[in-house]
Amino acid sequence: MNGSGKIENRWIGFVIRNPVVTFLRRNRGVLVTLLLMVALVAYIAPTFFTGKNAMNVMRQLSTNMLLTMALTLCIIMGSIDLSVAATIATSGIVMLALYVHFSLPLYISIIAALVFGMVFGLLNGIIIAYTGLPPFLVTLSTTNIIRGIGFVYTNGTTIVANDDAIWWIGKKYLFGWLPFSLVMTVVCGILVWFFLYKTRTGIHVYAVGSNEEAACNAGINVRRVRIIVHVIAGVLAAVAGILLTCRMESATARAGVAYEADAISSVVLGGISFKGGRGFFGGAMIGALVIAVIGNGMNSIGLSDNWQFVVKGLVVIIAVFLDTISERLRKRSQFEANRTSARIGGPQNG
Amino acid sequence: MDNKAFLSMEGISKSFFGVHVLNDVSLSVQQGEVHALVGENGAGKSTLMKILAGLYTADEGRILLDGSPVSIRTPKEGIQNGISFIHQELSMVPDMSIMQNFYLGEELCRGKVLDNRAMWKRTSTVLQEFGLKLHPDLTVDILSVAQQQMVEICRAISFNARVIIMDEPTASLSGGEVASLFEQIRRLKKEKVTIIFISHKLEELMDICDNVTVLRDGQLIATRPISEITQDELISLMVGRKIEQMFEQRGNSASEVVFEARNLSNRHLHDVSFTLKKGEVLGVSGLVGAGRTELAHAIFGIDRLSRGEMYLNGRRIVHHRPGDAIKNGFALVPEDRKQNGLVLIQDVRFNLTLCVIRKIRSFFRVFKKRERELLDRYANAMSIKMSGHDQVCMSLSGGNQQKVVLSKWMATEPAIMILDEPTRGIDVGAKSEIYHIIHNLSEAGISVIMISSELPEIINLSHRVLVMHEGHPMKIIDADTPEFNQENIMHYATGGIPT
Amino acid sequence: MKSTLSRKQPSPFVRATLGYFKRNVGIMTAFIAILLMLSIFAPAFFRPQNISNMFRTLSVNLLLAFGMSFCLIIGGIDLSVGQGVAISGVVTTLCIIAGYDWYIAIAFGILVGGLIGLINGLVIIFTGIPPFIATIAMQSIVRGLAFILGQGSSIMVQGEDFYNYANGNLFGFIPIPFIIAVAAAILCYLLLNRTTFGTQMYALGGNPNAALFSGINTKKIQLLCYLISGLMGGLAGTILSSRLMSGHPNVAIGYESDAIAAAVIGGVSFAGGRGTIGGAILGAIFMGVMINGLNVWGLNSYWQYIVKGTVVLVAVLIDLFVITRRTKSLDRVRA
Repeated sequence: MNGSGKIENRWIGFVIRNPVVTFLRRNRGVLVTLLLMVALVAYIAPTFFTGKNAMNVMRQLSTNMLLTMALTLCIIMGSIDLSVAATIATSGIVMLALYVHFSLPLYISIIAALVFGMVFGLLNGIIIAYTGLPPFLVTLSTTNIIRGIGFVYTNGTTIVANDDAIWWIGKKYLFGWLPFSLVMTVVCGILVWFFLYKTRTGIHVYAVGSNEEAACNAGINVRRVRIIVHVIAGVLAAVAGILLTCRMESATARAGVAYEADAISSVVLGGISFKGGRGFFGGAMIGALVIAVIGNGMNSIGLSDNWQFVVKGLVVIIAVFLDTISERLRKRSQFEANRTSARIGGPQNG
Repeated sequence: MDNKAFLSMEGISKSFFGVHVLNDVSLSVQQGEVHALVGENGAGKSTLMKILAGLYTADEGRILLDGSPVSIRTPKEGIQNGISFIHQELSMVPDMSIMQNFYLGEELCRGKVLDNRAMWKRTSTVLQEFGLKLHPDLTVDILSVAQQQMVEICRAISFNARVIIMDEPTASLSGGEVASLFEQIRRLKKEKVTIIFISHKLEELMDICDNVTVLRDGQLIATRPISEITQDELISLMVGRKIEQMFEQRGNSASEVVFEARNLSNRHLHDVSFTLKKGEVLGVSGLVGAGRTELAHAIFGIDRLSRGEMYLNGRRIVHHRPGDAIKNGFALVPEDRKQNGLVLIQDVRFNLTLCVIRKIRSFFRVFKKRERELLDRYANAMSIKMSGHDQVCMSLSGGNQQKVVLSKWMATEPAIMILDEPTRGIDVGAKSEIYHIIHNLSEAGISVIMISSELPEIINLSHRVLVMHEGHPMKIIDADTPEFNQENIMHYATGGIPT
Repeated sequence: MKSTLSRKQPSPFVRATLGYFKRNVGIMTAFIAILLMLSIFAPAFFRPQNISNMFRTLSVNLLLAFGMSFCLIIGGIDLSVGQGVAISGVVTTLCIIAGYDWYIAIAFGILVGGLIGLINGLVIIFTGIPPFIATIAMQSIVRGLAFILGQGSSIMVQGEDFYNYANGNLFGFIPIPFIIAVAAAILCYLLLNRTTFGTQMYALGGNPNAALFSGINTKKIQLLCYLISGLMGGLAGTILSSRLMSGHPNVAIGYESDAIAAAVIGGVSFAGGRGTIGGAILGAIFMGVMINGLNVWGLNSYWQYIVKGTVVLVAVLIDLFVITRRTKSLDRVRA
């Protein structure tokens, strides 16, 4: 094997083959942010670390994490999906409408909700892929449509469901401490990770985001990739909707408002670039953790929601700023140093 | 000679939005042949090849490989038929590794799962075979253009391409890299791989190709063996008429120094010093990476200088941003006119008046008459071929786009114009017009700093030439001296010791 | 080969109007269609009181659409305007409670909006963060501040002068806010079409590199555009709070999406470098007519969301197919 310049062969092999080190190295930015946040919160509010609070956090985490997964896929591809928050609300409504109003079995209601998410993901994907309209605009419109459907059906009211099965999905702690919803979320996460890094279409997501023309020239069916990603995003949003509805034991069209902002913040904190083609899944997940820590930590202090808004906004600005600077430095040092010694990687097991 | 052709394109026609780009073109190429495809910009060369590769579909006509007709309607089908297209703007995914680019679209899998290990091994092997000292996990964006090109070629070969199309492959390569490329091409020939070579650089074609096909305005004009045709004949066929003398007699420049640069240094430049006389054309020569464009950017205020001074008519000047340079009477026609020179979605009027907008809009008044005068003056002086002042620049030919850029800057009435590769990507006909313009600039007393990679331009237009090498100024050669020739310039450009 | 000289043109005014129609063909058609349908199904729409009310409400959206157009044309975006409106309303009403004169309070409200715009601009220029992210973050920050300032509840105010600001009429029937919007429209039009600033904006949006190389001070242009967007938001906020006679941090949710929709429907391109104030006006009025018309018709207000979403999509699709004939341009995600 030929190395070049300053690279030592063994070091490379070690970096690539040891996933833990790779993970740490790649996501060092957001990991540092997470540690800082945790330290800050620990200093200000020790109650953050009680078991009860931790379990609470874990349970609330699921919604944002699922949305973050959805948006990570979209943003890496150079697209975006703003309608995920609306899908959360309306898929929940679909589920409870069938379960409560039409007395259909729960599993059918759940499947219907997932199908709902899939259908609108498909709609988003097809419009974006075939018309080339800006995804921001398309999903902005579908947000209105999706939430509108929810509003129209419920007429602004809330559907309530007090039920053992529902409670189990939404609030059950396995083994006394592990929220079922978190388990579901982790399962979804593993599936998405697998899709992104271990399948052809997944790696094509990176290609399309980085240089769509090159992807097209290489024979990749760009439209197909776009549609698949948006469908997955829709389904993930539906899962989040199901979990949220079960936790709240009710479905309303006002659910999930502004959730996409948290998800975007998580993605951004995780070092994923809006230009597409760069960033790692793991980073986004850690970003979601940071957002959760901020939210919950501030609650523990008794700080109102409002300060959270301010803090979250500031954190995003600072984090992206640092990211931009480090990117500039990397480019500069790359130029100075031996050209072939800098960046090793590409999307791999992020 | 009646050998059955390996690759045959018959009766290909194609139009875009009602405009005929190709008209009944038939091409036939033998196996293992290196076939050159030449023509002015817009002649249809790229389109023809993109049809072959499956990036476009022809409106009429068919393609035959090894005697049998094939259907190539998508890039995938092109690849499956063994046709590989190496783009002029390299078609790689910058954020992915060499290995991932290698296998893009054709990733190896075990079942549904990517087999990274197998891909890594194979990529490594192939890179070694080609003598490329590159690690498969390096991301492509840090490779040089030449390296990226090599990777693309490797890729084509390792996927058993039978036909490799190269679109302007030497545009960004240095002399040594071109030699390397030609060596690979000769290797491919031996292995019976057919190569179609699109290029503007006629001297190179003479070197490496077997046959040449000339296209003009979407029609096939002629196909000849390279040995039976001269460069001048080729040019005539490409342009359709005899090109008279491209260059005119160089005038004499005045002797007063208008601009002086002393010890200009930054990340890319090392102590560059030179003087510029009034009405002089100072050529700047060097290989890719010599720092010529960086010099232009530093003078114009786009890049910062860490050290060094500039003097205009004896007065010290500092350019923090392009606006300062423009106020001092400088103008810069950038290397990449599409990226940096024009706002393509706007029309000629917008672009031409962009730098002198203050003369046309002031205190909420628009001086239409002044605008029209300005436009007419330059449209005529430059012979810009357009359908009207409101023609969108994106639809102009390369030559006309460049003329718009030149007009835009000349409207600012500069004292010093910096031209960075003024005739890049411009067909032969328009080139001579631009040379004429440069000559006129010089006669009018405007000093010109002309960066160019085409030595004929440097030799014929410059009063003096500054040769650079990796950011260092190597030598300034006066046109009136015997040292002023291509070999010498090349010698310094490649790092020869200054005498 | 000589180039063609500029042709003989018809009167510039006629040409401008024709050009306006030609550019916005899709919207114009849809607009006329909707008006026709309304005349049949909901003639109450055309009652003077309704029209007057509609234009009064519309004024806020118009102002935001102008500001958003400026940001979109230079290739940016301002997602914080909605919150800017809210906090401006809070500040204005707080000032009135504190005893300031109504016009001083309004000035403060506008200034707050401008301050936010200024900060947006500075952050974007000096940190290199994409406008999308910067303004989303700012949206969050301003929201929090609005709530903190307003302490979560409505701030009710009284006063005839302040009431008349948004609820009064000029000459008995033209809503004052609409006059303000018209004045703003004229100002924005002049800025875009009659100043060097406007040309430089289009250049920056069309090709930021080329703008830089042409000596345009890109930082200054960006700063001014975000400032203008912020000022528009502030102004809109004062009008809204006067309309409601109260300031509340939870208003104007989603107003930035409406502004974007109005601008885009009106032909302002997401990718930057294209768009007109006339188009933005048309887009905003179109949206306003649609929503108001549906209300008058008696449609359940919850259907509005669906209609809004669908209409924007359809309108943009129509425009896309009309524009694609002329130039091939694919807009990418705004970031």
